[in-house]
Amino acid sequence: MLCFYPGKAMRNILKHRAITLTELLVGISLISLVLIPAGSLYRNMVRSSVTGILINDLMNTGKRISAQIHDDLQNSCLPYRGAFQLSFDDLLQLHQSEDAGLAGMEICLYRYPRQPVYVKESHDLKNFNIVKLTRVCYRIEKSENSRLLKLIRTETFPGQPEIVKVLSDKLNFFKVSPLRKKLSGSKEAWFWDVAFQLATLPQNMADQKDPITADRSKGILILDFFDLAYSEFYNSLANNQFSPRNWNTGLVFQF
Amino acid sequence: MRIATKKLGDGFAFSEILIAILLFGLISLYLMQLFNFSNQGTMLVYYQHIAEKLAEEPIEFLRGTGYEGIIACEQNKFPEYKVDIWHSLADSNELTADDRPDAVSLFERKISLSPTVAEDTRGYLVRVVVRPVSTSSSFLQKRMEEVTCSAFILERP
Repeated sequence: MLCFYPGKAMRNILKHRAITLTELLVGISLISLVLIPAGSLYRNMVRSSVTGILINDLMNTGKRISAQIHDDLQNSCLPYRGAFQLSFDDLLQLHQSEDAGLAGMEICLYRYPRQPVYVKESHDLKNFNIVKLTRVCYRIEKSENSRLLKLIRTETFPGQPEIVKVLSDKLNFFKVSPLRKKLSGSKEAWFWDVAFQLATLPQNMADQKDPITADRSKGILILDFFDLAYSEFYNSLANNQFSPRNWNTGLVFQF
Repeated sequence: MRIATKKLGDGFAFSEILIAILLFGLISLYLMQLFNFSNQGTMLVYYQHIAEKLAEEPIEFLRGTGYEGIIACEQNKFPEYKVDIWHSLADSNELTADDRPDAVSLFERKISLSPTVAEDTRGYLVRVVVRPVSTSSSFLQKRMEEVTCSAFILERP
């Protein structure tokens, strides 16, 4: 035989009496007591997870850009015809408007193709292009609805359509500067120091003009990237002026 | 013997509520630590990247300067790239001082050069080790290991 002894509250329900206001208020306050910290915990969890995803995303993009720029600078060269005066500054052409700041800046260079091109014996070597060079430009443009900038890379190879790639639309800073290091005697080595920043900003910051500073609590993330690169072509030519011409230094070029 | 039993509708005792809050607090604390650990892990990837770049930099520099540069470096003629001693990267580096993030100061670096000769070819084994400085944050000290990069740089004719 099943015995059932209902409590007071249950007896109230069984008697079809409603819950009192006090019971309701106590119930709500107890639920709030649990839900408010739980909600805060959940919000923090989501924020932490989103921040992690954003940092990973910026990291991957930054590493990819850094590797691409390094490869381009290391293989950078100049159209070369016999003996001529070569300056390190000639390797990179910089176009920048003083008013526009970073937006509108363009850095261009010539670089070797990724695969070697071999000389064909049947050709007349006098004016034969041993290697056709690739023209690479990095252009910085304003993004729509964001204070951050776009970094665009264009690659032009003779006889082929131009390849345009947006490397990132989260650029906050970009700089490529030449560095000179004096070695023994008249010898010197030249490098490029590459530094750039990628950032993420909340939507409500699109119209603000203040400088951007990292603040994770406000959703502002800034990651710095840096690199040191040198041109194999330039170093080979500058430091071995009287050596026989080779793959790096003996090019005849017509674009 | 009296056995404590709870009837339906008796409500919760104050001690029960306190125990429940305590349990909830402990679980929350554990979850918060978990998020903190996860955040640190994400930042650790970034610091790892910085350490890798700091280790690659002297190798890239010595490749650029060539064999003569390595000999000059061995004689400690480049203050930015001291050989065989741990040096903090917080010190100003005249070569790249302006363009390095603040996080660089969390690390120190040691460069070792070992001359090698094989038949007629001379060269150096360059080994660069980067680690967090002892004054950096404890999580970096505990969770980050040394980053080592090595390369052979040969004398070119």
